[in-house]
Amino acid sequence: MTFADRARALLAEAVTAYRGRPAERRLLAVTRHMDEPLRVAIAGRVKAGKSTLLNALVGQRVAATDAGECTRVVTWYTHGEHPSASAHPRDAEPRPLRLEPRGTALVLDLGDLRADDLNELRVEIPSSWLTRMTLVDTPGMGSLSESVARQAQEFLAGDTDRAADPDGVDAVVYLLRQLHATDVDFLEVLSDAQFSHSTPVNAVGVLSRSDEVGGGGPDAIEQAQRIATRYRDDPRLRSLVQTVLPVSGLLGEAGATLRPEEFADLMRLAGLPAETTAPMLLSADRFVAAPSVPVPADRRHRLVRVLGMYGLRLSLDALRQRGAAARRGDLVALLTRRSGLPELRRLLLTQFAERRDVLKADSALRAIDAVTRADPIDAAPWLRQQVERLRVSAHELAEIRLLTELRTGLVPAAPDQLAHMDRLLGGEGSAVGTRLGLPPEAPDAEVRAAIAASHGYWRRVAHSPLSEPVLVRAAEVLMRTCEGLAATLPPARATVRVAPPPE
Amino acid sequence: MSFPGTVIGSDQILQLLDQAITETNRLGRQDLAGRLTAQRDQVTSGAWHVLVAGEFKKGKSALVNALLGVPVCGTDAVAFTAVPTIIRYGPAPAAEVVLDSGQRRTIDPAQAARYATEGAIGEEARLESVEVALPRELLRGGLVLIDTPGIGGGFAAAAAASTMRAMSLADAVLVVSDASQEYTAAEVELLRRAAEICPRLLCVLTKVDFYPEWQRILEINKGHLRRAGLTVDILPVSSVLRDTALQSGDQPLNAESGFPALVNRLRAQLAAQREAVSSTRAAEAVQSSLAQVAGTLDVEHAALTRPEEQAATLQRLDQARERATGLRTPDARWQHVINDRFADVQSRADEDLQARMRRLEQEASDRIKAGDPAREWAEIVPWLYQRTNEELTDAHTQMMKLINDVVEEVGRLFDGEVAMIGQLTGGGYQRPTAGDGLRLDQLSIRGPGKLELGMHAARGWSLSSSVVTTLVVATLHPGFLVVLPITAALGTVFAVKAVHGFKTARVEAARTEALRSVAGYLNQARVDANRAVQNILRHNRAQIRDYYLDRATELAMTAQAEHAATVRAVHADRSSAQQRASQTATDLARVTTLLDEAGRVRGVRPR
Repeated sequence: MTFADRARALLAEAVTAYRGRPAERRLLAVTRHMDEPLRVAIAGRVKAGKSTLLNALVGQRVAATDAGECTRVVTWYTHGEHPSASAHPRDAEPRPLRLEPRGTALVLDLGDLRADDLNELRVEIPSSWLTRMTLVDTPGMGSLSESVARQAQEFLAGDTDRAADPDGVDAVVYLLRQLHATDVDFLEVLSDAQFSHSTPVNAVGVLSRSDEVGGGGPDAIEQAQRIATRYRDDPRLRSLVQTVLPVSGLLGEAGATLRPEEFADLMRLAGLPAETTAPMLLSADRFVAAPSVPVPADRRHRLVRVLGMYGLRLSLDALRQRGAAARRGDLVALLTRRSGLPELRRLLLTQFAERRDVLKADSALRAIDAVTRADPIDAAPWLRQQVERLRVSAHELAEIRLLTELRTGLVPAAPDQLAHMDRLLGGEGSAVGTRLGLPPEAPDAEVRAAIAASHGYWRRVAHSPLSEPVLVRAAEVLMRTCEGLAATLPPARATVRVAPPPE
Repeated sequence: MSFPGTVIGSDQILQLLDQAITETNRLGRQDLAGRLTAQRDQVTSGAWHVLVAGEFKKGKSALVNALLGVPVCGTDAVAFTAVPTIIRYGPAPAAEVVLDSGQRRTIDPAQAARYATEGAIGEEARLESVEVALPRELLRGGLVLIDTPGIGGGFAAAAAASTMRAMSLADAVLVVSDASQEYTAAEVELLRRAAEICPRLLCVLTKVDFYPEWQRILEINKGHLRRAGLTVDILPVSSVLRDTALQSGDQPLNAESGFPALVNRLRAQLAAQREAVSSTRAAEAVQSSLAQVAGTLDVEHAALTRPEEQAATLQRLDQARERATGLRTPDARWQHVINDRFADVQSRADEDLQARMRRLEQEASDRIKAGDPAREWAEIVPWLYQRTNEELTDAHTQMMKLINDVVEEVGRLFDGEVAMIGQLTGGGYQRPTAGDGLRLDQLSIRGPGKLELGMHAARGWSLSSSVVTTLVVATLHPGFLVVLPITAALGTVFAVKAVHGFKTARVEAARTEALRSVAGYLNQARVDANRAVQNILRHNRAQIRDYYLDRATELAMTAQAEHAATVRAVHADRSSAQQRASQTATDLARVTTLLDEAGRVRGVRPR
């Protein structure tokens, strides 16, 4: 029985124990939630580009984006055959909302509802990405509007009083803009992490708005890569997120939603001589205001809003190089590549989706724990005991705990040892090959040999009288990890190598 | 690209100064002429410190570079400005780094940007600041630009208190934000506090070339300022357009960059401040110098025309000379008062700081003990930063008030001495033109009266029209404008997080860890503030003492000159006495006209 199965069984017992009590509803919701896609929150400071990134991931302009502060209510995006939306006010029943298509965007009409009175919004749209994970757009921290800031706080703190959203999310994508190490923002954004019970396993960092780094020069994305690499190596960040990726939500969104007529406008502009376009591209204002250009000013304004100055310069350069042979698909591919979105998607799929069951089971245990504390019925101590037992005995959680300890610098080991441990625990992805540092196509025999070597190594560490107790405990966890990995392989067949007959 | 003309307070005042310099030189008082010349330099090119402050990565360094048209500050997508760069006028490019030990070392000006971002000379030493001199027209009028490391998190930033301190001493502050987003709550809070403490505040919105919606951001920001009750302008600029324009000489593009407007604004502010402060100060210097010269002429004239008083006059002047010389010795009362009062201020400021920090630690510890710090840490940290900044800013304001009180007291005391000496010297001098009694003692050396006490004086000293305080500020040590980032700031937050993180989840352990972090941070903040207190006090004490020592020396010289003139009169034969008497009368008439003129100038100056 896997950890997830056992968690599910315990959840069923909790539901029975709480039958007829208010908490039952919450526990049932958690049970349902076990089978739903993973819930991933997009969090970060105000104007970090959360909604833009969400649009880029979903592939449609559905989260409103604007120059000013925009997202004011926590909004859930799930997959549905037809677009629909509902508002969940604090003190009233949910009610449906109109979701109107406007150009390439879907516009949510709040009607007479005030954002301040709403607990959350729920939006369903057809999107293949949303079948794999539910996304949650959150208002930013540090907003000038107090109610917006409070919403974000409450949400990330997983405020347990809220019936509509009993257990928060399973994983978090933190958007960071460029920050300084001694910066309080830095602390604030990162210490949010502890609120939503995130660990380096279920949180990734995104250096957002990467196309604006260093003033958005031609090498902005490369610079963003350098900064992300630096963040990745920062021990304090490693204790909070798995990794940091540079992403430009704007380029990703443009890539996902670029319309044929926008492409045609870009082609027309790329056809102009460089002497005409160079002064236009000096500033956004000039680009829109330039006289006698074959593309009208309002459409140019739209282009610069959709692509940003970096994306605009990039697109025109690329189109000019390809000349008349340029295709919309190529430009879309270029924008998407530069956005860093494919890497983020891959990361979310391998890191979050692969651990879905464990993450969800852990969420369920947290919910049971919270319920038993909020409503301490007779069975509560026993339930809590069970939760604790499950937590202690689940090797999956032991791995996650150890990974956290590694990254918070609590395990005394040499750097190469630490790197090895990190990878073996799934710090870079939980596929067997990834954990062993082997290419995906490695033959079973090689995998088996690598497992055996690792196992032997950690056994020696565990048994060495010189190892410190913390390291011994870590080594024991790693031995079990190796055993678990071996168990996933098909049983080894006794293969007899037949020597070729002598000629 | 050049900027026409330097900022000059007023032609009238410069003319007056020139005449007074000629007059004092002619009458053998090179010491007074020297003081007036220094004053003249103040009016034309006295240092005017403009602090460039704001959050990280908002383009502060690029703004300074674009203002000057030289890449003097480090701009890098990845690296941050680590230490402040102070840029002033110099006939040729030159640069120095100031080590945290206080030592200075000459560096290649082209390398200044690198030092400012690295903040250290290899492993060898940490820097406190980088100082650069550049032959730019913009700087010739005395403008000193200070590029600062960014502060993160507005008024809730760890280093906000030292930024506030620097702001209170600067002549003007440019608060930089970029068009990528509207002001955050913390930024508005910082602006609100800055407006209280700094007389001349200007907001700059950078990177407007890159963000198509910059105008909306500008409007939204204006709205935020309005709601916060601030009447501060926001100027939109683009450093990129400016650089391109300077390279290609494209004037319309330069105008579009917004920099000419910013330059004009800075120059207008500088001119206004010169009008308000320097001119008044210069007029005062003219008055006090010329009054001494006039006194000497008067005494000589009297000795020549009324020989029967000569003996009594000489006796009086001996006494005066003795008294004036006495003022210069370390035993003089005013010197004791300076020593005692500054020691007093020092201990009061220390006590005040300590009491505030203790109170704050108590507050924080109550808060931590009342809840689970691991859960509330994200709220506790900004709260603690904000409270610390409030307390430190208050403490700084308090200390500035105390210093002002001391300056007042010393001034009064010195005036008293001057009055005594005055009665002994040009005692019988009658002003020939107006007939009203014009005696040396009435021309107090101290300027146009009282220091404005209270907040007004404590904030922008530079606003105060007091001779002494403006003198102190004019010679402001750049070190005061150094904003040092507090590096260790609550770094152990991660220890707290770790306690929570792997769910050994013991509230008590988290509390202990949190209390230790808080104590460590507050201690560091206190040490930093103490250091600032000491520096500011030491600098002010030295400045005030030097100022009054110079005045005492002048007085001794005056007594000496009058004595010598009287002795000359005693020994003069009749015809030369007559000739000399008519000469002194002419001189006196001329000096008196100038004195009247200075009085008029001072009278019409806005205070």
